[in-house]
Amino acid sequence: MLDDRLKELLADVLLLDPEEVTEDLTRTGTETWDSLGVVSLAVGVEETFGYHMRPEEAAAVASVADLVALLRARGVELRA
Amino acid sequence: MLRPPLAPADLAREPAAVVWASPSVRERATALGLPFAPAGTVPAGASTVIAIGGGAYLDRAKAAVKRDGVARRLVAVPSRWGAGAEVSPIIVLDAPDGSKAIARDDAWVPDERGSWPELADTVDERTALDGCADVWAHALEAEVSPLAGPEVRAQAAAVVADLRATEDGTDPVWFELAARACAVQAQAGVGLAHGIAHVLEGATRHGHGALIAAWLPAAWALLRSRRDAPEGPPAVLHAPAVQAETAPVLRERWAAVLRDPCTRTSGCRVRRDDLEELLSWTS
Repeated sequence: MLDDRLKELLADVLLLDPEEVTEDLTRTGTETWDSLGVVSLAVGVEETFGYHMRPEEAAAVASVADLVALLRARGVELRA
Repeated sequence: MLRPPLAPADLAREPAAVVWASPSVRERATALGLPFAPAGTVPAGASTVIAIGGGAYLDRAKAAVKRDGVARRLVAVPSRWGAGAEVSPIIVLDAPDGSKAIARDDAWVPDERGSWPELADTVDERTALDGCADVWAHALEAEVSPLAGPEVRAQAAAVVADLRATEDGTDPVWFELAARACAVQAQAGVGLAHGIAHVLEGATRHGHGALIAAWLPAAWALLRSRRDAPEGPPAVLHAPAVQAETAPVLRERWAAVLRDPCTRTSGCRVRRDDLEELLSWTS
């Protein structure tokens, strides 16, 4: 189960319905997870979780699972 | 750093030049003593086009000369401030379906820009204020753009400070302020106010500046509720009647606004349910 805040953030920035957002979602499999999506996601992560993603970190996130792992590794508490 | 613009006396000395002028300034442009040609055409022997007009006119000139190569050189002279087309690598053209086609290439920046302050007389006060709102939007949205590095943010902040110090919205100093603001946003990005304007331009009778004047205050208030950001533009620039008239169209087209590239690179996250907050904002 994804953290509700993360699910809502991903739905907003990737222009998806919340039901479409799962941990299996990948960047290559999501049309709206383009370069603009990477930027929007970084802005949203900082606003929602207070963590400033470096540009290289944002570019390296290839899936929702990657994002969850990154945020947890950076000390962000996600509700399971 | 922007190069200084060419004054009318410099323009008049341009060799092998032909003038393209929008109808509102054509009579004034005869003072240059240069030959005219219909926009888009370059007579034999001419290698430089001096294009004089508003942002849309200058963008069409940029497309013809810098993109399509109908002449070797382009001097862009704005007749109204706002867009900053005379210093911008971006071209905004009307697509056949009424939407805006926006493209960018650093090679499309005009070779020179001109400055003709007296052309401000050809613009009515509301249009001038709409242009000021566009200048404010460029500077503010660039300052908070996630695509801006520290140096660009500092440049944008300096422009914002100068905008705040310029109370008269009809002063020709706005020509230079517009150029500076556009040059800064070209190094970063814009945001929600531009996303709204781009979508509504194709769907309403209003031009870009009017739509920015209508929606920048609400978009900026939304952003300031989410993060630290400078104060917005002065209330005199707001166009509440245009805001009220276009609100139903914004509601219809909100999904398109969310998809607009400018919205997606806004300085704050724009949420699906932000629409009601935008629509309820009043000055």
